[in-house]
Amino acid sequence: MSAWPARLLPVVLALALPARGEEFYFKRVTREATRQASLALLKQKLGVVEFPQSPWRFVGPFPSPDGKGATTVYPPEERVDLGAEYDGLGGRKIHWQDGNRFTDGEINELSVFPVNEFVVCYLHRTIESDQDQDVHIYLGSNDSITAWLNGAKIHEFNGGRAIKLDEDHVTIHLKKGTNAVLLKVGNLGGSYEFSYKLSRFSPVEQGRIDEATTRLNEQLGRDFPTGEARYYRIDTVAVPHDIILEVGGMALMPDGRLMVCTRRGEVWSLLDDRWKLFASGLDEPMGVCPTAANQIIVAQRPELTRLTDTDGDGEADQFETLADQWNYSGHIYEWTFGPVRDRAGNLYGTLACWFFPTKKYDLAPYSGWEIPPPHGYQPGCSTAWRGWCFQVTPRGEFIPWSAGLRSPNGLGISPAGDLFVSDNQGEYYGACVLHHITRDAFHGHPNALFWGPTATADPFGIPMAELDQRRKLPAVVFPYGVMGQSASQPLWDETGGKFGPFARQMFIGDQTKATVMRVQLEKVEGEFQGACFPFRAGFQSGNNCLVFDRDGSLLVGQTDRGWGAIGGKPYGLQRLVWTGDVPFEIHSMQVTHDGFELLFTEPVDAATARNPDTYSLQHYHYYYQRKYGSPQVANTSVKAIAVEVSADRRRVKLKLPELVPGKIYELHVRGLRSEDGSELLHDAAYYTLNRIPKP
Amino acid sequence: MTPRRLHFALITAVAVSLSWTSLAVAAQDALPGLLWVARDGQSTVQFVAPTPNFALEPQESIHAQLVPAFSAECTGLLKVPELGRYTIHADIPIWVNGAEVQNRVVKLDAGELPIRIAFDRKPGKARLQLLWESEYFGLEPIPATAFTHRDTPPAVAATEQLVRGRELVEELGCVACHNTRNSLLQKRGAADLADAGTRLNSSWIFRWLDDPRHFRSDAAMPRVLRSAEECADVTAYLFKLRKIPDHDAKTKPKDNVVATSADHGKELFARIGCAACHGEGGVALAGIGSKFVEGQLALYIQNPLHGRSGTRMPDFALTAGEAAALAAYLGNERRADYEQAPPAGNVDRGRVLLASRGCAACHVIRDDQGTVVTTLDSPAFESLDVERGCLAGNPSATAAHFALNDSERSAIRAFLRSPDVSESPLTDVPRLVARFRCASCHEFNGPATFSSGGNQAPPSLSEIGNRLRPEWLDGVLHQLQRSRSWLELRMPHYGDATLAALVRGFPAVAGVEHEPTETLPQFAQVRSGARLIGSGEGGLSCINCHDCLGERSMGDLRGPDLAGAHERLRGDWIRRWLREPSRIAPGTAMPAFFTALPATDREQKIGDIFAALSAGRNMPVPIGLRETTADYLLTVTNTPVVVRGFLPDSSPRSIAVGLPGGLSYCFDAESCRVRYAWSGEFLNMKPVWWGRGGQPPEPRGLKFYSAPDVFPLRLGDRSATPSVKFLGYALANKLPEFRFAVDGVAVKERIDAAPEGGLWCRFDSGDSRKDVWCHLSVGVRLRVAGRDVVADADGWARIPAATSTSFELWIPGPARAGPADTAVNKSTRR
Repeated sequence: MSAWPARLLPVVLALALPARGEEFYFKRVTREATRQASLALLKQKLGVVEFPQSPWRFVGPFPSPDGKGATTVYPPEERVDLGAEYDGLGGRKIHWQDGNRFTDGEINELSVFPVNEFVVCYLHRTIESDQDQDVHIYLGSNDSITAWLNGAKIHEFNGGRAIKLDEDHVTIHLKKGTNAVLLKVGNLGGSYEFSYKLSRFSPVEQGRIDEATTRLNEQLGRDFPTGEARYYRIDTVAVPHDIILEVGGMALMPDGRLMVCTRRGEVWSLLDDRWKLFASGLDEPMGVCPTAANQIIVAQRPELTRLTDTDGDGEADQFETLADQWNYSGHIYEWTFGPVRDRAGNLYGTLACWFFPTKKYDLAPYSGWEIPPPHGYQPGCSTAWRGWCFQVTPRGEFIPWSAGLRSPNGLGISPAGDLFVSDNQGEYYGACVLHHITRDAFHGHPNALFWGPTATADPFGIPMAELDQRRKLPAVVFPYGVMGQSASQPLWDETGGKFGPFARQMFIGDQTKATVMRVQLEKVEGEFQGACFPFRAGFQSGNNCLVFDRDGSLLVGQTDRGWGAIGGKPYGLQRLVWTGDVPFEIHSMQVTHDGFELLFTEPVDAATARNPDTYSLQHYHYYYQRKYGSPQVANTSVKAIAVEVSADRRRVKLKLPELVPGKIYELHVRGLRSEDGSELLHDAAYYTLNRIPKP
Repeated sequence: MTPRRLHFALITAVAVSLSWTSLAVAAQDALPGLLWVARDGQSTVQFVAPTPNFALEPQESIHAQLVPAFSAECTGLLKVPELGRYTIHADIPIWVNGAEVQNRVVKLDAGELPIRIAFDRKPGKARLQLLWESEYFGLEPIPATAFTHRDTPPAVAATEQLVRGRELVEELGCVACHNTRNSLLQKRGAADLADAGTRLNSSWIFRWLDDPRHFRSDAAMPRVLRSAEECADVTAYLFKLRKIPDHDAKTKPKDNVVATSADHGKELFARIGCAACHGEGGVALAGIGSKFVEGQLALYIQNPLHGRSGTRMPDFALTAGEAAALAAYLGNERRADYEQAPPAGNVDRGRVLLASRGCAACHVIRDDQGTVVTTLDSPAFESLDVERGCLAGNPSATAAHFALNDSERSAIRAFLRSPDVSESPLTDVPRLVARFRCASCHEFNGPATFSSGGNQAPPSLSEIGNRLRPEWLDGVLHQLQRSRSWLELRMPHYGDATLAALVRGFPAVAGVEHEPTETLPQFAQVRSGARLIGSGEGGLSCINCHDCLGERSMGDLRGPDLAGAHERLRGDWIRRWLREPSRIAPGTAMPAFFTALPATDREQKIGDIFAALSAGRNMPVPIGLRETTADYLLTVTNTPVVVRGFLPDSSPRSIAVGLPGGLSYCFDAESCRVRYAWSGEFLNMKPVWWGRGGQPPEPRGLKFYSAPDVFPLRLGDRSATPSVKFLGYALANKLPEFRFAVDGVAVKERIDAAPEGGLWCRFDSGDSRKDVWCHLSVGVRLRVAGRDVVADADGWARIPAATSTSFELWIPGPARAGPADTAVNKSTRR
């Protein structure tokens, strides 16, 4: 009865892992010395074993039409012969190459072949093991990955995805002696990357080690801040392990409670490190708007709901449907974002659209945009008001407000009461943008034109030129890649200086790049336009939501599920704190009738500031097209013909030979010093020039 | 390249034997099986069968030589393992030691006791299955190992010769030329020749036509061409039909693939089962490399059934790489005499020969002039002269030459004199098992001749009819379903309906009745069963050695997925297996968990596990199964749980509510009504919470209520469908009270578990000035102020105006089951 083979029982590893908060930090004189000493201590405590591994060798590309290469058997899969020559993509002869550049535990770029789309490649290395033992392999990939150990398949992921470090975990058995690892990594399109790590630690143990390393890095950042961290410090808010805080929305209640709604449908309140579940069971809420001391409004996929805690126990007990006038078919992309509330009490939300007829226009289908929803497939039409921003008045009236949005995950109302919405790069959007939303405007994606006053049966058939005529240009375009890849929530600094020298400017998160960017807007000829600037990178996960805490620090809510983000953590909450030092930065970039005027946070050194060569400028635009995304188009260098420095040395006027509307002006300020000799923390600014002011 | 022999290691000769007896291990004096003497008034046959069991359809007989109305007597020895009290269960008299013993406790001595059974076939279905139980073991079919006989009479050999004759007639395709009225005899098709010239080298075709047995001693194809000139003509014709081979990368393996994969091919050949048939003494492969045009061997190996209805070579579902590796290995096997260019032939004469010599009777031959039709005029099967034609000791030049030996010729002659008259699973099963060489890899009343034992052994076929449901057997044999994908030996695919006789035959020779798959276990039992399957407290950790819900077993050993057990296995077999696995499979790694328990505890636990297994994919996730699955599981403990999401079979605006006690329901906020209810665990949220999500959550359990597609309330006018609008819900002790407007009137509805089972839906219509009409579907009851209100014939019940604004609907719960064990045993049909 109890005669169990002992080997079947789970093996319990007793590891001397650092308990939470345990000290393993060895402060030394320099940052690097401190890091080395602390890591050595950590490794010693853990008994980290380094496995001797040969450098990677890799060979590719092999063809992978429609991603089928992931399941096609190429010769290296049958037998690894590092001296062999193979027929690669297009019949090219390919050989095994050195992969010394690939680093364990990091994201390694594989776009090294002449063609990197719809291809697979193989990577091979050997591991020496001094005994028979079970160890763990951690893999990440963009896109498909298959792994073999000593000829036996140990793991397979076949599909498209963004890379995430250590996303896949496989327990493997190393035999004593030499073991061979073979990876096959495939790419569909876009980035082509993989990550690999060999460890004797299981995911749970590894998680604790990673956490310890993160804490070490944070402490290093506090004790030896460099770069951005010297001015703006990132603190990680501790989240209890059982809360899956995939942040969909955040807001501060009048009593200072932070309300966080999550993609798993929960609403958590946080006050002084005390987490309390306010509500649960919601359908992927993507925003919170407080309306009273005991009341919030959230946007669920199917409806806008008012949640009230009527008995004051800190948990919502009343769920009232405020608006549900849009159809909801159950498609994966049918989010409702928002709501935000203006001073008159009107609520605004946005409805992502999911339909784009790629087949009809003979474009490569992207990301399942055309995948039918579970509840029936009727192109566009089944889902009323998709691609719209809507208003709900205090009396409960539902008013379709503004059209042409794509995946508008970021709503904010400026101190002056203007509604801005960020939107994501894709069809009709060459890059992520910030819209100024006004009633009845059309912002660019025609899916919304199935409905509304100018509804038509085939909005995708409207000529592009006509759509271009009709559309309201975005106030800011975020150059794709350098200024993020998925702009999220905008937020204005109304802290009155508690957050540093950028009062009343806008901050906006980016999900993919895990950054916070800075935006300065101005009204030109009655319409908003402006510049965006890099501000702070290095967050732990995709930045989705921003809110200023009462102390003037910026709370950043995060999630990377489904759309990978650099940072490595799947979700969380961090706090960006101004250290009190003012960075030397381009404070703002404003357009004049003949050029731009720059304002700096510190007086500049006159000699370097007056030199026109200090200012490297170019302009370009993105295509407005059906196709997904766009390259930068018509990049043109511009040279300032005159530079004028103000008396207080805070302002620099650049006169340009001409200004071309419809362009993004990208500025890099090189070699400029402040009066006290500092270099700029960020030298770049990107101005979206829609209109030119009259002299 | 020097021709060399293939070396096949450790392969013993596979004797193609057609009787039950020769498949089993022969004992010195006691032979396995029992001796039947059966007669139908016309003929008498004697044969040996491993057990006395059978289940016959009305048109079937105990032996193919007899009509369905037969009488039979079975004699032999019953091997009693130990002195003790035994009960033998049967529907007819059973004599042991000369005394009637059926259905009562008898004391039996250890040893081999004479047993006798007499059976008179009545019209209709017939069934005989001997079960026994004793103080040493529980109720079970008496295993074949307990039956023996001595002194096989010569008449048995005569019967076996008839069976062999039938097999030869079918395998050699006699009835393709000799038309027959006997519908029992199957025609065997041969390869479609349209692409023969594309696939095969003309040098080889020429040699094959000249003498098929030169290439393969067991070739079924006769020699029908009479001269080298004729062979050259047909070769030329087939070569003319060839399509220019497609030289793209897919069909032509690259040189470096071939160079590097021959070793891999050799390893595959030995590992996946090729050598079971093509081992030493088996189907010869000598010169196979000379047979195929370059690149075609791999294509053939990968898809052997394509265009070859009569082939015995099965499809191993090889990848292109594996096929190329095998082809690289086998392609080296060449013979110079098959590679000499054939003499030139006349294409038109070749076409005429294919028609006139009967080739087209078996082969499909199409060209641009149409299908070649056989012009050979052969006598009908029933009027054949057994001494002449193909069967002559020395066939004339005009006959087809099969190179039959004397014993084959005698078998065919015997069968022609006494052809089969009935369908009979008892005759078919051993014949087909031999034809497809099942017993090479599978144990079948004796050890497998080829396969390795232990954990890599394919499942035994000895008790297959007692074990597998025919639905699953059909899935395995015809629909590529596999439950042990990790075995090195591969179960190949023999065609889409080739083995239908085995699907029917295996249960028939075991004498089992069909068992319905649908059951309605009680959820409480399912949950305790899942606890036993898991590795939490009190769990038996079945998941350590078995896959479960698509997750790999947690330990080194690997057994089939538990979630598929009920779909695959007969219920009585699962229970027997759980009680004492080693009685079914001596030496199995499966532990006997319950032998030390009192019988009631044991049966309770087995009943619980059975209930969990019968929930299939809806089984609650056992504790300890990989965290990734459990992480996404929403369960209900002490308070109700509310989840919005687009549930299956409801609108996207749905709200799932899980109640303590295991009942859950789906409220649709679009149509403002309960859509369905289920019992079991609550929801699997993985489709929503994993990756990008966007899929419906998966209700986990069994639906016990589905609402009809009608809004259940009418205010005032019962004929008008009201307009409804969802307003929200309020939580009281976490239980939602839904609010919605019906024609503008605010209505509240609260749905809670009823103490008496099922659900109470408590309504408050808010307005008592109008009549309220309630629609009651089957089983649903309406109660107003504590009293039942009955519905009219259309299902509408009326609450008169000014009676009460509140009323309750009762939805019946999952079917009530009796005492734990019987509930599952009876396997209630839904």
